[in-house]
Amino acid sequence: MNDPLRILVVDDESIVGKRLKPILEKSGYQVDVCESGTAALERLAEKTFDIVVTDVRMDDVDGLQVLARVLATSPSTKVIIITGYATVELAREALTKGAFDFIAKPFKPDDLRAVIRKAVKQLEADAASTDE
Amino acid sequence: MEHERSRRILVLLDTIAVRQEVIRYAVALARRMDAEVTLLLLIPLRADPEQDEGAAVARGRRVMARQAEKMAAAGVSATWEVIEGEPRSELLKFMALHPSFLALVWGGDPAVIRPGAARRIAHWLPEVRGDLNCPLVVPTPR
Repeated sequence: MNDPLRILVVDDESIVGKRLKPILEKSGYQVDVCESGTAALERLAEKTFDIVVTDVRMDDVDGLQVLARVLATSPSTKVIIITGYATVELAREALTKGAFDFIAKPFKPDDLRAVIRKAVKQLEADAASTDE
Repeated sequence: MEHERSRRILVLLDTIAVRQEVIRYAVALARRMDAEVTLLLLIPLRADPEQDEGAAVARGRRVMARQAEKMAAAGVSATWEVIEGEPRSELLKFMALHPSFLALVWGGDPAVIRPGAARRIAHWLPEVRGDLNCPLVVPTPR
C-alpha cells in the first residue's frame, strides 16, 4: 500500500475530530472528519475509506448505522467504534455487527493509534490473501 | 438481554506481581461454586510500540501459566489470557465475547477501587462495575 491510508473520523463532538485529525495525519494517514452521522453517510457515498472511526451516540444517524452502511458498501473497510457510553452490551452489539474494534472514551491518542496499526495489519493481510 | 452464564470465575489482573491471597481466594471460591477460573491479565499499551515489542506480553504469559498451574495443583481448572491494549475497552470486549461469569475477582490493588480513592490512584473498574453482569469481589489482605 503506497498511497496513504484514508481514514474517516465521525464524531458530533467537534473537539474529537479536531484533535484526532492532526494526530493521525502526523502518522501518515489521510484524514477526513464528519461531525454527524448524516454527513458521514454522504461522504461515504462519494469516497471509499480504508478505516472509519465512529462515535456511537449521535443525534441523527448513529455509529451502528454508519457501521452497517460501511460494511454494506465496502466490506473490507475496518470500522472502529469509539464511545463514551461503553458497556458490555454495546461492545457485543458492535463486534457481532462487524466492527473491527471498540474503544471506550476517554482514550489516549496512543490507544487509537495502536488499534489503527492493528487494522492496517489486517488490511495488509486481507490484500495479500486477495492477491494469492 | 439475558446471556448464557458460564461456570467460570474471572480473575482480573493488571500486574504480573500477583497477590497470592487473590489466587487463594479464587481457588476457594471456585471450589465453593464448583467453577473453573479464567485469569485475565490486561497490559496497558507501551508508549513506544517498537521498543521491547512483545516482552511484557511474553512475561505476562509466563506468569499466568504459572498461576494456572498452581490452581490446577490445588484442584481448580484454570485458563488464562494476556491482552495488551486500553484496559477498560479490552475488559468490555473480553466480557462481550464470553458468556457471563459467575463473579469477577479483582486481582489488583484493592485501594485503587475503594470508594473515595484519591483521584491520582482512582481506577476505571468502579465505572464499569454496574455493567459487568456479575458480582465484583475484592479479596483483601488479612
